[in-house]
Amino acid sequence: MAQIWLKDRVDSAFITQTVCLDDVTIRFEIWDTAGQERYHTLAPMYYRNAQAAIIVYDITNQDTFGRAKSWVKELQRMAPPNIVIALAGNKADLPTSRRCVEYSEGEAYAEENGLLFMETSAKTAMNVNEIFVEIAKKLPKKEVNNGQGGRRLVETAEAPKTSNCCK
Amino acid sequence: MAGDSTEPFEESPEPESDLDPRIQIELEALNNATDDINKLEMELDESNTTFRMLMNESTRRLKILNRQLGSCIERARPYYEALEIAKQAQQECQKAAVKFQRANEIHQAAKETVALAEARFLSKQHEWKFDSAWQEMLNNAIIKFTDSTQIAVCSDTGGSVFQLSFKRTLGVRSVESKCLFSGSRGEVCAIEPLILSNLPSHPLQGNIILAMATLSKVIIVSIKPTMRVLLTRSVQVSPVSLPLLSWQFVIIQVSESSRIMDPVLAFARDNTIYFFQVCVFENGKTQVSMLQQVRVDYCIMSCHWMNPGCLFEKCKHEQAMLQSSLESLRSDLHDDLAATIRQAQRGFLVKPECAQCNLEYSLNSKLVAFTCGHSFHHECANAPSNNPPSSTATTPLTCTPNTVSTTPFTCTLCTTWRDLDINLICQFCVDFGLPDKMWGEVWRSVEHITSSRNIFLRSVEALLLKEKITQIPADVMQQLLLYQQTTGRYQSLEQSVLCADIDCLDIELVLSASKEHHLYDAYISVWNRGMQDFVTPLQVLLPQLASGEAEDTSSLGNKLLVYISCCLSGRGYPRGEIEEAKRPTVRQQVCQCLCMQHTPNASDDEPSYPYLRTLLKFNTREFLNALAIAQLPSSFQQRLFDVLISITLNSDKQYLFKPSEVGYVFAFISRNLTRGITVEDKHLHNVLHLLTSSTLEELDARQDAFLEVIKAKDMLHEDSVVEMARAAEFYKVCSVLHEERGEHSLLLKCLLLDNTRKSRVFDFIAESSHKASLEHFIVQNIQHFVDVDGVKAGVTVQSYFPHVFTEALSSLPERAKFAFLQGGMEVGNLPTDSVTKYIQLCCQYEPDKVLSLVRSRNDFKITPVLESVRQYQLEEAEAMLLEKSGDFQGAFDILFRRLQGAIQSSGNIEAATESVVALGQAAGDKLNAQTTWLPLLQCLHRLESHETLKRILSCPNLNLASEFHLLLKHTSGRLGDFRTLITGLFEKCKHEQAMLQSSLESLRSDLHDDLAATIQQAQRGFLVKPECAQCNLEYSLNSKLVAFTCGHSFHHECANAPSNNPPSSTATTPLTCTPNTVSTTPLTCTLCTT
Repeated sequence: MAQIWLKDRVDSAFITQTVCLDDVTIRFEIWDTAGQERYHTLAPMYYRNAQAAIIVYDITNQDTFGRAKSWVKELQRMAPPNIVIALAGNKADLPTSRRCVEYSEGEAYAEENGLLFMETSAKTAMNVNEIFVEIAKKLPKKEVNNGQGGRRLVETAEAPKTSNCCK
Repeated sequence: MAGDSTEPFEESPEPESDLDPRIQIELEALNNATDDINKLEMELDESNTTFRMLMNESTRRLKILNRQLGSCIERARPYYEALEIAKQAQQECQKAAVKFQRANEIHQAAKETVALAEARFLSKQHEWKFDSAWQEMLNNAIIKFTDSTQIAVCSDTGGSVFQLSFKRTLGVRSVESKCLFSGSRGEVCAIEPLILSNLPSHPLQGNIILAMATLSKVIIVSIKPTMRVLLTRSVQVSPVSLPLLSWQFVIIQVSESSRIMDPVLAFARDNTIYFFQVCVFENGKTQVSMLQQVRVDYCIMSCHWMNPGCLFEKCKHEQAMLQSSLESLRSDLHDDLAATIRQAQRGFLVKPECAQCNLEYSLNSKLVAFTCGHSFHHECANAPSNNPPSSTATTPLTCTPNTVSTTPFTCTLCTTWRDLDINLICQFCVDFGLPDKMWGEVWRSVEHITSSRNIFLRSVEALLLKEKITQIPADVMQQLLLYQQTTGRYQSLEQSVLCADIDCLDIELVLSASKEHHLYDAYISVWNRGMQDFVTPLQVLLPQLASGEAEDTSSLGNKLLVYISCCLSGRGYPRGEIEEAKRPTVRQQVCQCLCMQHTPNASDDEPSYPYLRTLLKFNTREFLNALAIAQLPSSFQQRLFDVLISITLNSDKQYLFKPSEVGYVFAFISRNLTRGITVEDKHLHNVLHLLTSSTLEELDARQDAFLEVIKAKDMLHEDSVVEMARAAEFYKVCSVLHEERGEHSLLLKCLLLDNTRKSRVFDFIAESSHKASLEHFIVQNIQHFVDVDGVKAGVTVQSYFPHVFTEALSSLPERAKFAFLQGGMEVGNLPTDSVTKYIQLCCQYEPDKVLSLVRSRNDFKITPVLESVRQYQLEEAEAMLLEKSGDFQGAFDILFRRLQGAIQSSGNIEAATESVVALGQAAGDKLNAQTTWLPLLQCLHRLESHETLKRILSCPNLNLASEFHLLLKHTSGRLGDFRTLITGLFEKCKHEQAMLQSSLESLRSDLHDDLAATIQQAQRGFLVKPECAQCNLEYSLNSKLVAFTCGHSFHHECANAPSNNPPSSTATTPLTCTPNTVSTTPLTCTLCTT
């Protein structure tokens, strides 16, 4: 994580991450898109070919949750039908007093729309690996067996306000 | 003489004097009157003008009123007219009332006369002389005229009926009366002759028929042509009601062809009406026959025939009633109908199989559906009774096909309904799979009505956007697009185009509209789907992007990037998929297009590869991302990379790329190098050189690009790169490199050097997991850290490296030390020397904070601080320090000086006094009264402020008696000068007395409470064993004993001498109850009685 604080997210970035799942190593190829509005029209480029998407909102900001919902709608409408969508409530490390979106609220919405749901913290790395493991479990089996070869594009639509803070 | 007499007149000098003096008088009067007349005339004139003015004024007003009220007056006129008529009618009514009253009086008088006549007649029975005058009067009672002008009938009060025949012979009138019915046979109450005058051609004309009724009989007699009784009939009813008679001509249908009109008598009595018909036979005979009798359930008080006019009126009334009821019935029916239709328009679920034959419906099968949810094949529904299968047994009765209309449920019914329902209709048509109806009947019915058509198009649009329909007839689609275009809803237009099937679209219309309104998605989609052309949109839109003319350049560029990415990866744009077979072709076409060296019809000065240039210029990184995602075929990759390198590195001046863009391109190429593709090494050096040396672009962008390149080339660990970065002041790059190589202190150095990220150096230290390796660097370069932020530096060092704090501090200049120490103080746990130093520096830089610091802290050395405090003349702090070091007199002197200064400059005396008093309290009796209190009192006394003095006096350490003595001794010695002081003294005395009193009282009450508790304790009983604890012998009846609350008891003798012979058993006796402490008097209740 130490490296990320050096970076101000203004455009899409490409990262890879490997996750081990039952003796199979899966390499995620992650496109981290900027959630900013002016890049919105570019988003289809990333999710049209993606197998999974993580939509990140900030639990201390109700507004970002609303935008996350609209992203979910867009993905459900436009993305490939078998895409795995995960919803992540970020900044779970912050004290409860600053929380604006309840865990149950996010969970209920995810349940309703068939999404994976976790509350994460980029700061403490809480649930970061876990959410990738959960996604890996949900991916179609033959792709998982491909292991190294498969190309997975994960698009995180994080609101601009939150992106500064993920150090 | 006569002449003489006239002389005086003749001699008068004036001829007028000849005039009669009366004339003169009259003239005088006239003159006078003239004045009056003039005056009056004037007045008249004035009045006239006034009147005219008033007239004008009122006319004007009237006109205004008229204008205001105009129509009202018109409308109100009938009312006022009616009012007048009503007034007249009232007057007439009054007249009539008067007449009636008069008539009534006459009637009364007549009755009286009758009664009188009767009485006289009876009393003079013996005379038996009938006075004809009387009879005349009596006959007035009831008289009825017949058709004949000469015959009348009358009845008298006695119940007799007479026929009166009037005659006139030779101018003499005479009346003959003939008795028709004698009162002796009954009393006739009602007579009614038949009037035939209205029917001159009736066979009964000329006849006179009279109906009479007594209380028990009805009699009809014919008077003319012959006197004959036609009918007598007795009626037995209760005599409470009078008989009523009424004639009427009634048309009676005798046979089919002939009708006769005969008089019918209605005779009503009590609750029964009898009808009698008078028939005329051809031979002229008349006969009366009973027609019928009608019984009603009320008592009849009056009986009249209604003539046809009445009936007509009644008929009209009834008709109106009928009409209104009809109308209400109709509206009810209408409501019902509307409800039914609404009900019918509501959708309902239909099972996909026939309830009759249990077969699923095919797409073309006609079906009959019921709201109950059952549905049948049209054929099954029409012929179910012939072969009812077992499964229909449960079908409710309401949906047997008898009640079914043979037309299937279509919207034809609805087309006549309002526009509001068009939405519903469309939805039904779609839901029930009847698009033919929708496009056929419904569309045809709304096509030519603008409002309806718009609503229809709107609902089509909604359905289209919901993707419920995709196939729309071309003409409807055209109308829809035109409608959207005219209403300016271009977004909807674009969406509609995207949702609708391509073969429904008027391609020309869509292309022109989307081009005009920048609907790029629709434009691209139509080219793709309609013409299978994936290149033209690029060829059209890329130059637009290049020219930058479009207002929405960024949106257009983004769309193009997405489009290119979709084409390259075989996805449809903006959604869907490209057919599997076409994908390679599409990909190749697009690739070729992108790598086109020149556009078709290019001008001479066009740079090479214009499309690639445009896209790279627009957004290098995202374009490269798009290429990266697309997984280009390797054959194309090589070409693409060559082109990219050539255009980025070898461009003419005017089309030069920014260094960062070149860097990104190079990084992208390096990252995506696969087997068989090569890039010459010299390019790398060119690129890196360009990035480091260029001044065309901001440092930041170049750094990012540089980083990308070295990452892609995996050169993070090469020393030359670090040097290059350092030389170019790429501190960001350096920091990444150092971190990568584990050189944490160097990383820190880079951060310090990087002006933009300096401030984050402390955050970095805080989060670094290699703090130990940073320590040395921090101590060495503490000056630089402090330059960034002294306080934060202090905080950081004290938090993470407390043992080097002093070392770091020593190397800093004074001013820097202060901020650094401040940071250290925030963290806390500083050594004494550092705290001392901090306070000393505080004296210099933040004197306001010194006092509170000195007051609150104890971990500093007083002497050096005192020196600095003296140096910067912080008197309060100095006093505090002196007080802390025990030099109260010194502290007092300072504070007293401050007080004096305050008094002189009339500054804050209160605060100064306060501090002096506080010192006095803290010092207690260590202060010498002679040198402290005395001058203080003197000083304050001079001030003559009761308040401040009181504050001093309230100080408990002040021994007033002695101080006062001193005061007297050192001043003039006159008590009067110290009035305020003495007053204060008295007050203090009083106060202390009161205090003493109250404390005494509280002491007393405490004592009292204690005593009460003890007594209570003493009165509690306790158990005494029956044997002495000393000698173990039981007490005899007379033995004296000593008992203790602990439960032990002794013989008096044993208790008094235990120490002499202590028995073994007493070893365990507690000390408290050894007899030393025992009173010699035994504890008996005699004690308590006192």
